[in-house]
Amino acid sequence: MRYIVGYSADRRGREALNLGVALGRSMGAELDVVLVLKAEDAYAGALRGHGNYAELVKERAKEWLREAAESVPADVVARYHLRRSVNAATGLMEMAESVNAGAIVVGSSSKSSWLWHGIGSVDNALLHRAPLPVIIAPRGYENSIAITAIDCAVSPKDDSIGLVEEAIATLNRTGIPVRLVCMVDGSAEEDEGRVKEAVEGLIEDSSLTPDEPEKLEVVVGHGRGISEAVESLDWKEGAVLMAGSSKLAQKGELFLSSTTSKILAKLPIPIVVVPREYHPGRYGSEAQPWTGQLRAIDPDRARKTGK
Amino acid sequence: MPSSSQQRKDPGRSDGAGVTIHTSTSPIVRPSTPDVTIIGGDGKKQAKGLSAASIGLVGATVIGVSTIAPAYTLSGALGPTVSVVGFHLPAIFLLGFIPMLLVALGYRELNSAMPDSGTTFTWATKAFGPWVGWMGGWGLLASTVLVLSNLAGIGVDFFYLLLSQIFRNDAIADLTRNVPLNVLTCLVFMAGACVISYRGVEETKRFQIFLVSFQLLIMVGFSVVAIVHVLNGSAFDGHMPNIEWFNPLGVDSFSAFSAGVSLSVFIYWGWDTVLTLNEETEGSDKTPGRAALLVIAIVVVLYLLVACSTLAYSGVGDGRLGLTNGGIQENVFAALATPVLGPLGILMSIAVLMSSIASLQSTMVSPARTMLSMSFYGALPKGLSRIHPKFQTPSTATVTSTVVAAVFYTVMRFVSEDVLWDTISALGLMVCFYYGLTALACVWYFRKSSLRSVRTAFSQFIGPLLGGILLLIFFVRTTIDSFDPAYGSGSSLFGVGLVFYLGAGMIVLGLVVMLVLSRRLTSFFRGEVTVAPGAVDRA
Repeated sequence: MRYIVGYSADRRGREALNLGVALGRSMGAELDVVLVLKAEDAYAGALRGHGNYAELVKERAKEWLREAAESVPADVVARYHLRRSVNAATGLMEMAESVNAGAIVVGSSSKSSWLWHGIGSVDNALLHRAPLPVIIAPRGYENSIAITAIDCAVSPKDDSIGLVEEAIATLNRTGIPVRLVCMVDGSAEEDEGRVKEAVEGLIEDSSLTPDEPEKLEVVVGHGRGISEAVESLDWKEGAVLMAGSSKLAQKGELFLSSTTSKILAKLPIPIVVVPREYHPGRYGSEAQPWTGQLRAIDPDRARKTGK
Repeated sequence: MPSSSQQRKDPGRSDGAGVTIHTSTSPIVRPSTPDVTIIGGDGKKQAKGLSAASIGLVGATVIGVSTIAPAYTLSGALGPTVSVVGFHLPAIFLLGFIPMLLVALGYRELNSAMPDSGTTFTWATKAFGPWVGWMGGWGLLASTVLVLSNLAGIGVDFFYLLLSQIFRNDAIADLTRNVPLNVLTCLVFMAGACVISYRGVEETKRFQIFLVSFQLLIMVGFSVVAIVHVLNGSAFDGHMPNIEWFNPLGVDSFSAFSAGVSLSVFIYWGWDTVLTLNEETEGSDKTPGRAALLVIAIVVVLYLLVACSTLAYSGVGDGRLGLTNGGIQENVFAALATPVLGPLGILMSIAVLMSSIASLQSTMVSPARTMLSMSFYGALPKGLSRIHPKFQTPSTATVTSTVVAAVFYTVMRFVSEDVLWDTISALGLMVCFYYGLTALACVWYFRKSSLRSVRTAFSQFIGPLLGGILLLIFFVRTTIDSFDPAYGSGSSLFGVGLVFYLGAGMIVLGLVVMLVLSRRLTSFFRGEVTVAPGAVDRA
């Protein structure tokens, strides 16, 4: 399995690379670190005068990739690519297709300073179009050791069943502890535990059973509005949150839902947004799971070797 | 294309120097169909960035006209040129094109042998060594700083004129005379253009076509209405266009002639862009040639039309709307728009404002790239060669050129009331200087090979030699004349004309900066750096 890491020689690119390394180590995946070079429009190019500017940028970009290579630890297999394309999102999606990648890993924009996940134009394009999971590192992401837990954002409604099944499949595939996370707009008193019951009901209705039920947990966050609910929960370092796409998405493509975009604003851990009707390996789907086919490398062992 | 055969990173190796980097280009970027207008990165031919076939005749013509920015150029250059050559303006506009054409031939030859963002700097260094090359680069950068400040200044005038036309309040148009307000507005414009360039936002084809058509339409409309005023006797100082206006021998003195030509060099500045499009054609190279002819036909006809109609309407007196009235000369259309077009004058304001703002933005990019290229070869401090990791633009160089232009404009605005006029005059001088140098660099660089065929003898030797010598003669003559405090707008400092400081002073400043830098950037000035290493050696 291969991850596309959208790299740029700045904070955002380095954080994407950190996350890529953590994912690569945990899932036994290889990285394709991609720097997208902007292709200038012929009109704009001619207006700006000719010359070798594109060549100079390319040479500089090679240096950037070499710097990136230095920060990738020796136990992670990585390839480095320069891709010339019309924009970064297109370039990353093209590379993902050509290497048959399992997911695209990118960093957060720094546009809105009070939010953890700033959705820049690149993220935005990927989150509304990509045909494969997109993983976004929050601002300031430093963990490159391992992924130790997977959270999955679900709603207590019946239409979450697909995502619950995929969460169980992910647990069975990786052996990494999975939490089904429900964020509720309202106080815990009003709810009286019904939300948790509903989610547990979904687990029972699921066509899959967890191999290690003790690693599957349901947690509910409450608050006035989704963002408070997100803040009420305890997000572990080393965890990632998996979220589904909006019903607006075409089948097999991403489309960020409004709830997920509210979650993103307050979420301090990476998010994995999967396409609509994402059930790799089941119901005849040929999609690759973003966690890879192998059981994840034991997080504790990975920690030790990482240190 | 990436494939499984690519070598894996050796887990035992942490040294980054041996990293394999795979390069690929998006299929939608390759110029495979006429609709796709972009550039590849792999092939030798594509590396330069353009496919002329994908631009087409209309596109190339639009690029040519928009780099000249006729509405802005005429508004700034008509007054200063009339003040030296009077009614012989059309003759000078026609003649001024000749050295420009000759130099453009050399420009095109050099661009084809050494496509390099440093242009004049790189070519002159290749031909004459680091010192002369550095001064060529300085001339180019100085011209751009001058034109940036002038563009923004013209933009400010039209901005307030437009506001006054919208709100039907003449007092607003006079706000541009308020120096602190004018400077502040100008800085806002420059900052805006800088941000756009910094972020690498691109103009779209459609926007360019609209902009160019709008400019042309308004200029032609303006000329026709002005002539109608003359015919009706309602012109300010009506004269029927006269064949004598086209007689260059009627110009009083060689000084006036030289000053006129150096100004008209400025009005054609940028035209060579069309010729360099030629480089990207494979097989059919007729399109750029046709486009170049078409552009020049459009521009010359337009310039003559506007020159004749403006002269016919306003005359060369120094009355309220006379073309030698110092108060209106530096920005003629701002004064004439409303009297000629009446309420439709607002269209004129929009046309010139858009022309100068679009030009401001595209002008900002090329010097930044030249600066980056000079820095890359070690001729300027290393910091200037920073490329922004996200926007992939020459960010530091862009900011630097904006700051210099802004400081320059601010100082000049406080020193001289007629700053726009004087910068245009100085700009003509600087363009003569660095274009002249570029032309001679072409002659010298191709000296061994140019006489092998009739075509190259003309395009690499005779043409550029003649053009270069002519421009340098005009440069020297006009520089000497500009010493006179009465030269140009009549602004002077310590009894010496301001244009002299801006022209000759700029070059002296360049020499000083070069000497200072040569102590720090020793390897470039010792000639240890090879510029344009991939140049086609035709010698």
